[in-house]
Amino acid sequence: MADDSRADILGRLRQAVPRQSAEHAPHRMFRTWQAPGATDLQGRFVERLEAARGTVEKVASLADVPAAVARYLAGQNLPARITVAPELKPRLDFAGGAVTVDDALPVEDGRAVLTGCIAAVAETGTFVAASGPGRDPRLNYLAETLIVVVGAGQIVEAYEEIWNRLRVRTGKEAPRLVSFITGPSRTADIEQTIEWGAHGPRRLHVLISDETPRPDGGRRFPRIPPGATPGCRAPAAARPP
Amino acid sequence: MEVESGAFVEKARAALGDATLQHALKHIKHGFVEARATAAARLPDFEAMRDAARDVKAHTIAHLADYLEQFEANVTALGGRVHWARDAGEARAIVLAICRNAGARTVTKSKSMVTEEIELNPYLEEHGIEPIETDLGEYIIQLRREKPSHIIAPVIHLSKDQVADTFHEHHPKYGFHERLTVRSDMVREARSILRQRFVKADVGITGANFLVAETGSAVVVTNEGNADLTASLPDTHIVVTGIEKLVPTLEDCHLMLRLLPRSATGQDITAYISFFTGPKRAADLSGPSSFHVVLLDNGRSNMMGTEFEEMLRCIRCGACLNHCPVYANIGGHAYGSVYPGPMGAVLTPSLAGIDKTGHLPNASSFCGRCEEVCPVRIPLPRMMRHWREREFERHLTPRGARWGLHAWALIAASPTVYRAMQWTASRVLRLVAWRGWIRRLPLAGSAWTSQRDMRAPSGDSFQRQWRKRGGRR
Amino acid sequence: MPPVEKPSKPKAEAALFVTCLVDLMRPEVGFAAASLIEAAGFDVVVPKWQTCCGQPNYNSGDKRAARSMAERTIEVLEPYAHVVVPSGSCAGMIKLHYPTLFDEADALFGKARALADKTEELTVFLARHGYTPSVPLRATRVAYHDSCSGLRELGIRDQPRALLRKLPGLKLLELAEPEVCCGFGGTFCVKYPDISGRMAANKTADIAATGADTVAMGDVGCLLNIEGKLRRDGSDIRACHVAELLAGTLETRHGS
Repeated sequence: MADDSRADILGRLRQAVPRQSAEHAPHRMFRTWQAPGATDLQGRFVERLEAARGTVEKVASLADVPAAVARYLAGQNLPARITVAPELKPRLDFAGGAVTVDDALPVEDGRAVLTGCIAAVAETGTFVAASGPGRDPRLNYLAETLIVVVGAGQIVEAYEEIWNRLRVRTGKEAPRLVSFITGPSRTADIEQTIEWGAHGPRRLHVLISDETPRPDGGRRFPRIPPGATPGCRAPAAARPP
Repeated sequence: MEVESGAFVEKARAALGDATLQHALKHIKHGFVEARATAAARLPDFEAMRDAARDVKAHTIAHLADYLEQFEANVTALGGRVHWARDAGEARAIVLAICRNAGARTVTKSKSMVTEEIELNPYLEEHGIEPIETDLGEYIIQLRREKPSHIIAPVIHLSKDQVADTFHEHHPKYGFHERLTVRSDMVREARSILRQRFVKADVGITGANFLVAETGSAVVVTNEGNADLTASLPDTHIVVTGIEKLVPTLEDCHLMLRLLPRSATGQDITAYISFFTGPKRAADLSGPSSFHVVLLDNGRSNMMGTEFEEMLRCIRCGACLNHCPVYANIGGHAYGSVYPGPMGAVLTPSLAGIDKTGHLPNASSFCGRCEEVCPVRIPLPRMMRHWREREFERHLTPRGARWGLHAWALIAASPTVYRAMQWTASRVLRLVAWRGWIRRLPLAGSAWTSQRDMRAPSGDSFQRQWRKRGGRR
Repeated sequence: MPPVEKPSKPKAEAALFVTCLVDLMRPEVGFAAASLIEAAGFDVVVPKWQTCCGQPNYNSGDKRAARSMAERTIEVLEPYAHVVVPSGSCAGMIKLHYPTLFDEADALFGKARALADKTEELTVFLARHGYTPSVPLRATRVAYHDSCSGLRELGIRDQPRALLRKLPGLKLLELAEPEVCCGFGGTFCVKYPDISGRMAANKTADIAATGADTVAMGDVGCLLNIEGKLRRDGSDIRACHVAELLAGTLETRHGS
């Protein structure tokens, strides 16, 4: 039955003479910022993130992160407990500080998580989480308070650059999950009025660190000039005529 | 696909008289229409992006079979499975088999119009599996046993008080006994209940906003993050979606993703956009070990090569609903289809047959605003007109209207008859008028005067007066 | 008044396609349009074999009848260099939809295209020919209602407003939601009277909120709907076709 369905569907699609057709045009980078040629990626990232109800603090290095976390939790009147994402844990020293590091998956109400990201996008104030060795992206959605460490050098201009970068890193196979996250979780289902913390974080706080928390980070991703075609295309053999 | 469009007129009338619904629908203007306009104005190339998006989708649809095969090959190569469903029944059976294979008792779901289309929830329930909707709006209508009234805002027809009553009725079994009155408290209570369901679910079912052929990715857009929890916590992830959701490349997908939230809610981006590609890899710390994509046809392939083919470009943003003056006044339930408004008026007859859905393409004043805001420039009014043509050809148009159209065509074919008609009509209208105005007309005219007066003509027809005055002809 | 022949200076000829609604329901709009075309420097001809453009049948799915009505209209209007229509929706029918009714191989396709090219909606025609109205007018607060077909099919937005602004003493007011349909929609208003009536009520409320004493528009369909709704609700706001304001014939019509 399954094979019949497949053959039927594909057969019907192939039998029909399509009424519309268009060349598969090379991808164009449109101006998505009102000020074209803007170069202050960090400024744009912060502005858009704040517009999406995120908050931002700058720190000089990873060594400053534990103290910044403690300050933020205290400032929000939150318990001084946090789950630290596995990829960040070996790089941060919470010993002797005010904050207790938690190990369990933060499924109950009210838990805080400190996590990293694979990159951030200035276009919309977005950070990018992905699955992969040593990473657990579930933490991003379970936390009620989410603190994200973004390296200043991890901020790229547009979404497309993420994929260029990921392909290089993973030998062209996309990770199981790549998630573009912008601001806290929200819902406007009841009377089109926004409420925060629908399922994921109620608060999203970003620590922009001059030092990048990833061993292979720090390098700027290649930027795509407007009008250019990015480098990732489907393999020729798999593309339709 | 179950449709109840026959009672459209009665349901629309009831909707117009429903004060709570009318109040709820007022949120569309500020929540969607103004927000979209602002978001579009902020993007300097918005119109050019719409052209590009139209072309990407047109290209994809023209080569859909090839892109579907490419998508399937990529999913399979990563250890996932693609299933093909000709109709709703096949799709439901596939999902049930996967759930049974996983030994599932409860299934979490993130909002999916395709699972509404195939009526998956009642089917799973009948077979002993509990589906749990996790999008707040879908959760509310699941509790109320209703259908969504909007493709992106399922409970736009409800007031806060109605939601409060619904929670108060259903939440005591979770230990919540108080009737809440503050919106944020309601959200918190639902979150707390649904969190437990997320953790215990055996299977997660999501839809897909896009499928990326070159990577085999299913892309899901939410603001709540519920699709991510649905897809990340259970050991099995099932994506149920339509065959038309393909785009060739990741870059094409980002073009679409820049248009979708702006067109839908006026957001530059939703809080969550996730690309799900295959099952958990060996070195991953979490994620489902089993990944399935169910590709549903259910009438879509029959649209290929017809005048309705361009409808396959639709990305379900809901902008046409939000900008439709008919939808804005009656809401979604009157349409009797899970796809209401202009996109539903074109799509529903394609999926369920025009004989059962005659009102849908007719309930439009052809104002054209839907086409004006469609991010992929689907000529919705033109396609509604094509449905009216199919109805006319098949003698489905109501007899009175057919007769009237034939008569008018005959009258217009002969200037002599036309002039006689105009002369008679003018005389009659002036005769029945009182001080130049008519308050009540019989027959077809009663539909006019049920709502408004009619000013009678001031004198004989223009052409007659022009001739009498010796104007050039 | 119909123009008087002036043999001394031969003028270009413009055909007035008056539309069946104007013809029957609002002959005064036809005369206002004729006098404006005349004032713009053209001789007005009203081709005597004209009837209906076929839009009601076209929009109701009766494509065959629509095609034969189009065929007639194409023939009737063929001899003229300019065709002017005091309606956005009928002009849209001729300009946009006629060519789609015929196969490209059909000789009528070329003729439909030719007609589409030379057909103009009244305010577009007046604006293009630099017509400046100069009628005396009592101080009037006028709201302009955009008809959907004119606005979206033909892009008519600025032309009527620019013409109205030239009228001395006229204050032009904008609706809060100028892009929303008034609920006429051809046969829609009798097929779905309840929905149409609500749309009309929303529109008249928007008009009233501007504080206007007059609402002007470019389509007699919208006009019948809006003036009928205003009247039913007891409003004393008067509704008129733009041509009546521009030609200065409104005051006599209302006898004030």
